[in-house]
Amino acid sequence: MSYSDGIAAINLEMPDRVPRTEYSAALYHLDLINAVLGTTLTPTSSEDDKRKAGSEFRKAWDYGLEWSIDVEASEFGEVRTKMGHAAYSAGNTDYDSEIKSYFNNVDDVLSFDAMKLLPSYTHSELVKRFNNGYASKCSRDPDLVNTMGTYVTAVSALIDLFGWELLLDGLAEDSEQMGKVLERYSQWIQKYYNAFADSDAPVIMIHDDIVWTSGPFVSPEWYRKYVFPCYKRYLDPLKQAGKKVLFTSDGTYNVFIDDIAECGFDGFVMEPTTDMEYIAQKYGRTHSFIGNADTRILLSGTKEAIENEVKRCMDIGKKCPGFIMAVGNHIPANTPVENALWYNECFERMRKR
Amino acid sequence: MSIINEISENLQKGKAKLVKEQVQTAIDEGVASKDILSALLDGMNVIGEKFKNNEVYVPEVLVAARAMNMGMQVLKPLLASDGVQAKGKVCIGTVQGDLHDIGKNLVKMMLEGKGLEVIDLGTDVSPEAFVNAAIENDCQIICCSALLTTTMGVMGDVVKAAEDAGIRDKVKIMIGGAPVSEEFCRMIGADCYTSDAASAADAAVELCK
Ligand code: B12
Repeated sequence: MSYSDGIAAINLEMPDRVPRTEYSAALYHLDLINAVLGTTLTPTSSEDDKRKAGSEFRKAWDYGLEWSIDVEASEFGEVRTKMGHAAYSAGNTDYDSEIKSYFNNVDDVLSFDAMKLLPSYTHSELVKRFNNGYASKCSRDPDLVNTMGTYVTAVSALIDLFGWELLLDGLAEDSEQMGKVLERYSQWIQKYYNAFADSDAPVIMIHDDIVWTSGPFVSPEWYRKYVFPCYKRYLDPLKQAGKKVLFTSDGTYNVFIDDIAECGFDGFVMEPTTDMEYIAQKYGRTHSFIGNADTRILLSGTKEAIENEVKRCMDIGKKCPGFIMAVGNHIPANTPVENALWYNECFERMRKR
Repeated sequence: MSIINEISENLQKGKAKLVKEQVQTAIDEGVASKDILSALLDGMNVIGEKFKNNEVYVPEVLVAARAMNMGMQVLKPLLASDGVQAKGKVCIGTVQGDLHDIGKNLVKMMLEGKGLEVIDLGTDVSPEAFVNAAIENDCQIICCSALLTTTMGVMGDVVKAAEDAGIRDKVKIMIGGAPVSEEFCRMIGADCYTSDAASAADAAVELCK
């Protein structure tokens, strides 16, 4: 069973088969979904049909966990910066050329007070919302571990509020002040973690894109002074409530793996450029981890290269009780269907312990 | 400290206003324009190296580049009248379908920091637009940036478009961006790949020689 595999990994109980998850394939890769399910979805199919097919796909590919978050930039209402969206899904349905910001300049950014400007909800409103959200995820995909969580955690919140240009400008102008902006923001978002703690969801996903593929974009000391203390505060109520809390960041967060472990997270989710081997060696007995095959190999690699990539991940993860396999950087819609199918075949062959 | 050293030091600290003032002072004191330019470029070089070695990060590069631009505003007319030429001409852009431009902008800053003239085509640039810009401006190099695995293939189209336009032997094509690799560069027949902005600028200077 996928759920039992997924939850066993999260609880470090070494399931008989390595569980798996994937990102965005079940939402966007219609050709792959059609190939696996025999459906005839097109970009113009109804959202409902796509959603149902997505769930069937997760079942067919035996997802043990669905990576999912609930609190995103939309939470900010108008107080944010829209940075546009490229065509990423099949049929380009996600294209969005809108670029606009609530903030005019660096002074606006550095004086931003989240507590004053962002909407406010009561604890019970949030708990109710999260319980409803969790129940609806579970009714949609009952056979896997559904996660609840935040994307606008700390760094990602600053990105969504201000946009990259103003964020970098703000950091350049006065990084201490930007740290204060983050502190104020963390007070605002704290109530969401308090509510998750009192919700039914057992696994909380804290997603924060703290780094780029090239690593930190601001001095590591800044993160240690301003970002990780926020995480510790967020985790407090969650840990007390017995939740399993996983950390996700895109990019290469090697320099921060130990900092993140020290904050108290139970697991790591990573892209191919983050060092999964290091995580397995140092935290493989005490933490779960999800990763990290490279989608570029699925895009243009040979069958042999794809097989080797699955093997690389399995060699690292199979001996660890909390390992969950995934393509670390999505299986986007331009991945050749036969390559994705072959990846799955290799995974199925190698997953048994 | 000489004014030349001060300009270089203050540029590294990102003190844009001061750099602008000091460039003006240096001009007024009769320092040769090419020496002032060297001071700016040296400062930017130090920042580039430190960035490559993770001693400074993007915000520091941004403020340094801004300081350089402020200095250049004052210096540019003089450079033109003194006949000091750019070391080469480059057009740069993020490929079609892709709006990521932070990396592209860093590469641009570093290229300018090496004394190259850069024509910035922005983001979402079609292969034809790259080639037309290279022809119109007589560029030695086309620089393409891509951050998406869904758009990196467009770089191959740029190589083809340059071939079709008959300029492939006159123009070098450099590519970069997080998903790109040396191997990919060879595969699509581009000329040069580097993994970071400072190395990109070093490579571009070599290609312009
Ligand atoms: C910032 C960012 C954005 C910003 C872009 C803002 C802007 N003005 O650029 C916004 C929010 C708009 C955005 C949108 C999207 N993004 Co985005 N984004 C990123 C992010 C976080 C950082 C990219 C970046 O700027 N890196 C920093 C710079 C400095 O690095 P760099 O560009 O690689 O440049 C360096 C070198 O590569 C080199 N270089 C760069 N260019 C060149 C050129 C030459 C010639 C040379 C020699 C060298 C060179 O020098 C640079 C400095 O050293 C990455 C994730 C990550 N962790 O890296 C995702 C990422 C690139 N985005 C991604 C995606 C999917 C998207 C979206 C499609 C969906 C979304 N997430 O919203 C949209 C698409 C928008 C579009 N049309 O392009 C994915 C791509 C996945 C994939 N398989 O391709 C990533 C990897 C995130 C992820 N893990 O899923 N994104």
